[in-house]
Amino acid sequence: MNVPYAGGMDVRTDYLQEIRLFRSMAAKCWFALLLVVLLVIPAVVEGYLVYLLALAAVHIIIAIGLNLLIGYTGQISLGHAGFMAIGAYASSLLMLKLQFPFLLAFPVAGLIAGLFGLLLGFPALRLTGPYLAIATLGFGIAVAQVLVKWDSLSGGSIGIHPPKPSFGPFILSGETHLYYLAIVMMLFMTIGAANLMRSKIGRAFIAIRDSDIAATAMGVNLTLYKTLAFAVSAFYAGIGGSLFAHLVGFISPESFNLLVSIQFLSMIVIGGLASILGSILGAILLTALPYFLSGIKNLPMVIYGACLILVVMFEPHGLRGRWGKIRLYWRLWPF
Amino acid sequence: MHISHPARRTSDLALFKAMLAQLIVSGLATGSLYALLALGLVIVYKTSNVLNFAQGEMAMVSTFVAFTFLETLQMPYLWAFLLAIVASFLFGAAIEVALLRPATNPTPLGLIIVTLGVQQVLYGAAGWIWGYDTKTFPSPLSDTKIYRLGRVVLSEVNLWILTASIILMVALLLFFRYTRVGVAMRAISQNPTTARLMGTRTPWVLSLTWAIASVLGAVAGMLIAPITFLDPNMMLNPLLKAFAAATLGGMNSLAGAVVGGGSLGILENLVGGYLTPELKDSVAFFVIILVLCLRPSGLMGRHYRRRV
Amino acid sequence: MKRADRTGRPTRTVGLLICCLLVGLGGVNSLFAAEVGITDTTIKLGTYQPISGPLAPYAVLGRTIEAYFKMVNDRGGIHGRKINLLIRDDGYNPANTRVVVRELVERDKVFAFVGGLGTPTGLAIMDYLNDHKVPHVSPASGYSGWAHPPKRYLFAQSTNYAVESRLLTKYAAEQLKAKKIAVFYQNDPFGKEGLDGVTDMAKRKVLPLIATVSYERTDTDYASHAIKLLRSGADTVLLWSSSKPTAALLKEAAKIGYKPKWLSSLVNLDPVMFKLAGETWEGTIVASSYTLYSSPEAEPYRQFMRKYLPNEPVGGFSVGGYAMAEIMTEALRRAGRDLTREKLVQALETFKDWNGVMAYNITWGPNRRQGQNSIFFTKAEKREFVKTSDWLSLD
Repeated sequence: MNVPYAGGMDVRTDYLQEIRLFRSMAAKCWFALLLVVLLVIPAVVEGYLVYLLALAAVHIIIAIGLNLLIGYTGQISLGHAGFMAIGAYASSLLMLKLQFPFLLAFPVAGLIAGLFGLLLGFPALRLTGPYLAIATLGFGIAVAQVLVKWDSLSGGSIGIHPPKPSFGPFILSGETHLYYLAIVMMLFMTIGAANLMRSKIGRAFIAIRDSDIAATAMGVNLTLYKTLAFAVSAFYAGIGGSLFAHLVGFISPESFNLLVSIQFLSMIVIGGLASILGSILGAILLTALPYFLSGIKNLPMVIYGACLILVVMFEPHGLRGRWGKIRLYWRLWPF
Repeated sequence: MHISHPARRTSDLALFKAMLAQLIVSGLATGSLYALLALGLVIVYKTSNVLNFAQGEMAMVSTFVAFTFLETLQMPYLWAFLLAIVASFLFGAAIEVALLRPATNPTPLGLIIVTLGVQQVLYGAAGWIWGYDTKTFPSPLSDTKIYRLGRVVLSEVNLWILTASIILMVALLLFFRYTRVGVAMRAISQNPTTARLMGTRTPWVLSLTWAIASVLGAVAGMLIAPITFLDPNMMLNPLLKAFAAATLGGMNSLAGAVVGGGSLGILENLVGGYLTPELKDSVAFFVIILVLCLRPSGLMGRHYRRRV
Repeated sequence: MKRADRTGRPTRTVGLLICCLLVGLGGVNSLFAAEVGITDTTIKLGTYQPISGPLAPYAVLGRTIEAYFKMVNDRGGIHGRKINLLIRDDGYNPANTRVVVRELVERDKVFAFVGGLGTPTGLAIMDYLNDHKVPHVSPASGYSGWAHPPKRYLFAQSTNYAVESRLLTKYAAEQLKAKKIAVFYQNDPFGKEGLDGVTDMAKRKVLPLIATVSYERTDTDYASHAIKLLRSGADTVLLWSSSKPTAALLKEAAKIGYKPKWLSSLVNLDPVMFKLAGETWEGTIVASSYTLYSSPEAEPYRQFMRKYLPNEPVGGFSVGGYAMAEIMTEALRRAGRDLTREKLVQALETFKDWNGVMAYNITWGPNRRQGQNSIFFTKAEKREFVKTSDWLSLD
């Protein structure tokens, strides 16, 4: 009945099974255990690891957003650092200049980034593949340059110190507080993405990826869903950017350069396209990797690049695909 | 004050004209380098449908190879130049054969990512082998020796950049139009399956395209290195400009790449000279966004309709 | 049905996440008796450098500090302890600096920092280090905000850009008899501080500032910048620009026949400029805040370079690294055998007009965190920098 095939995927036998978020009691238990582990981590590990985990959570949010756009909808973005920058600066500046409380600035920053995503989505309607890649590349760099030039607003290349976020009188200062904030947001956004992909909208995204002309023929409104994919993806990047700003405590246009966009692209490719689990794995791996490699001179770039090439050549489904194969191997063992 | 005003005006106008000419000429010199890199991008894109993000680093590595021939092996300039071109030819073909061809299930995104990977590997490796410090690239051409054309000055290096780029571009355009290989390349870019069925050796032609693109980059690198100096970062920005140039001209038009490169170079300099140098660097990216919004196929590109 | 359900995707997600997190649980807090980073035989120091990325050439500074401590260790160390310097790569990206510095403080438990490189990178960790009472001696950047306002654990050393730019303007007015000046600057904190200083002096009627031309680190063609300066008619141009753009600008200016007096910030006191800019570099006035690398007094430095860094060029960023390391060594020596962070701070506060081989006139005190306030000028002549003024400071 449950016949797995090469990808390690399983066949679902009815629609309810297909759209269920947790597919078993065991899944719920694992999830509860994960929550407990995430909760107690700051008490057991050192501060910088807590910080690194919080950074990984931020990267996960952005990677999932990017995967919604690239992996699920089949569009491409080489400018996600731009959306991240918009989120980071919007939330910091709303708090600094307009004295917005964090609780308001944070979602507004995401929405502003989402709005820019929507705007970029319109030209994207006419562009495919490489043209879209160049357009988004240009967008990402243009955002950084505008931030450098518009220094009366953004502080220019000197950068700004985002204020510490607070909930009413309660100020989130240490990394532990920010860690909990990042983790909660990460869980929230992950479940949000999973739910989105189970809905009509998610199905429309996938239909567009598989063939936009066929999707139109089936009644999917291309204009609506393509721009929506950009907006949602940019919203994720904006939320991530806002968290990033408050977590790192210092942002400058340099923090959002082309390499950052490429890094997020690498995360989802190495982790696995069109997979939320893949985004998570890729984000964790590439957040941790530089700190394992920082002792090796010059080699990080080479290793990083070689990983990208090798994954595309030999493991097109990324870590997630490999994980599926390993599972399959053990499930079928010793056959 | 009243009397001197008209006089000042005429001299201002003369200065304005001289400055305009000077800005255009030096813009053309920079622009021809963008054009060489953009040509490399376009021929690869036309035949293999890949955006080659490694084009800049391939050029940088070729330039470092030429540097090694010149400095470490003390070869005469012409020999070093020719050997570096041969090396870059093989290098370009090797990258295609070793990394692009074996990619399983090549989606456009997958191929873009492979070239990004190649870019990172080459950048890291160059830093590792040759170091990150700025080096001067020995050249028989002087960039302080100048030629005067009226009030416009042109250094020897700039003159050679213009000459060499124009020769190379014309040669390439003729090659593509009239030789059998050129026709095969065009055939592949229009319909790879039909081309293969008609007996074109597609893999061979693809490798050749990459080799030519690599040579274009190498020439650009060796020409610009005496001016911008040599280090692993030298091509990061020119490559982005080349993308803008290719977009402006049309991703699938060779002539477009040349026109796009030249006009981007001039446009940048005019903005730098008359508006503010601060915005000079941003011109390229506004050009990208503008072109893609208004006319995605570029000035000279053709748009093929896609069917299901 | 239930059995089949066990293979749901969220199960895998969750299981794998837990695995990943558990791997991260490597380090556990430990209690320590002695001062952090100090054992009977070692002192552990840390620094962050742009080993990879576009600014990688600057990392020679970190390598010089490391080599200097190796020399100190070869000579028996300080009070019986050897110095162990941990260098971390942040690629000049503030977000990375934040991680590597925390890693150095919390996992590697370094005693203090020395010569962390860069302004944006330093800004990202300035408050963190101070809040955690980790001393940072001589951040490698002339940003004026390190010492103003003073922070107990941050000791800024070399003359900052704000003071330097004012001294440069003054020198242009008094010694070079400049009438109209222009500024060419890098559009970043370094260039902006230079520009601010000159603007301030212009407002105080020291000299009329008639043009400012900025560039981006990514520019490749400097023709329009040169033409803009030519058109302004300035007789003296002040340079707040790194080596490559400076050389490219000078060549472009020479090409169009523009020959003002060039006056450069201390970052270009580097012999590489003679190679990059060639003939056009001759006659340029360059500021310096360290002993001139080619002067007789700098002989110990040159010997050190020959022995410990034979492959690195003499002059340039290694000079700063050398000065930072010798200051740190002197401070550790003064702090004595019972080394604590507080004692290091107290020892640093005893520096009064202290001169090392390369470091000059360093003074720190209880509420004073800017070590040096003076520079002198050199002129590029026949492929050498020649000293043309005494040490100068703003009164």
